[in-house]
Amino acid sequence: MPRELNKDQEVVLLDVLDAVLEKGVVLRGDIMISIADIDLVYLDLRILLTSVETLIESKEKSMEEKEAIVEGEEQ
Amino acid sequence: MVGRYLYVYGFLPPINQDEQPELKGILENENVKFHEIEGVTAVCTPVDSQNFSEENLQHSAENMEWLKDHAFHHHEVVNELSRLFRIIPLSFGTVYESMQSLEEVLRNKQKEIKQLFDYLADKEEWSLKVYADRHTFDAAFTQDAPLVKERRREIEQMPRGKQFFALKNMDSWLQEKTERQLEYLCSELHQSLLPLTSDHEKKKLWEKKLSGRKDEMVWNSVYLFKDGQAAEEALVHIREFQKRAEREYKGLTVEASGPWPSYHFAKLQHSGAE
Repeated sequence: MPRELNKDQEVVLLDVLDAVLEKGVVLRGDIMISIADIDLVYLDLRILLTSVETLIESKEKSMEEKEAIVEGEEQ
Repeated sequence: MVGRYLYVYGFLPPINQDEQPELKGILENENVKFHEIEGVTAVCTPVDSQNFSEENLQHSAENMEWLKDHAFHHHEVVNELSRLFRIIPLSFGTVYESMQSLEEVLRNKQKEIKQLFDYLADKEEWSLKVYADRHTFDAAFTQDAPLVKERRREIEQMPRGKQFFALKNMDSWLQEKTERQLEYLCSELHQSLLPLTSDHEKKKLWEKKLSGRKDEMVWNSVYLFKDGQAAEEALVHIREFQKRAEREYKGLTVEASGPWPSYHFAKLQHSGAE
């Protein structure tokens, strides 16, 4: 798990959307498609959060599993 | 006819085949693939050319459920890889029509990409948010701040007429001073973190309807810490801030999360190219 301080899961999830929708490298090519800029503030993110609990559960579960694998590999 | 396009998540330095993790792609039965070109590993997966055509992709992005699922998938792949390797995350929804077009871009940009790998080495991206329960914070400030006590004393000593107007304006005076105090406290924390960073970005504050919280977001920023140790030191500052807030500035909550993949700081402009 990433180290987190006083984390609010919903906010972490919003951060994910904020980051992947607005940020990251844009590398243009001739035959390339990309989504036009999406501004998080204009999205109705409450809709996105309706199924947030399921997402957190599945995410945490997969993270724990993966962490166990990574730790196992490190040892 | 439905063909295949290539969805690209990000770039890694060269990795051995036995280091490649098995990660699910976007299509059923298609995993994430690692394709090395000119010393850069593109992390990609095939997608349906119909669903991922420019028009359909734009249209799909307006569907919240689709957007949520795919944006999270993008993040999960990038996040998983960022624990294992240095990664340059691409913006969500980057699709190339063929491997050839991706190879061409990589050949042109490989130098900048490699410089960016070097720049990001060991650095950690963290996010920091401060919230204020304005009811609690404002009440405590109004009651205890020396500045406010001083102002009250000043008003008491004013002639009656002047006193009347000063008292009338007290609410807006308090409002302004409280805002300024919040700004000052957050800036102080921010300044204490800056020596530990290589870069930072102040972000828009989220309204309550976006954050879904009862308290108000008063600070939102991301930092690129020089290394893991710098991030640890930053966390010490942040914890101290929270402890002091609990004692002295009731109603303030600080939240930090990380390390994140370098979404905000993996910019090709660092090497002088877009």
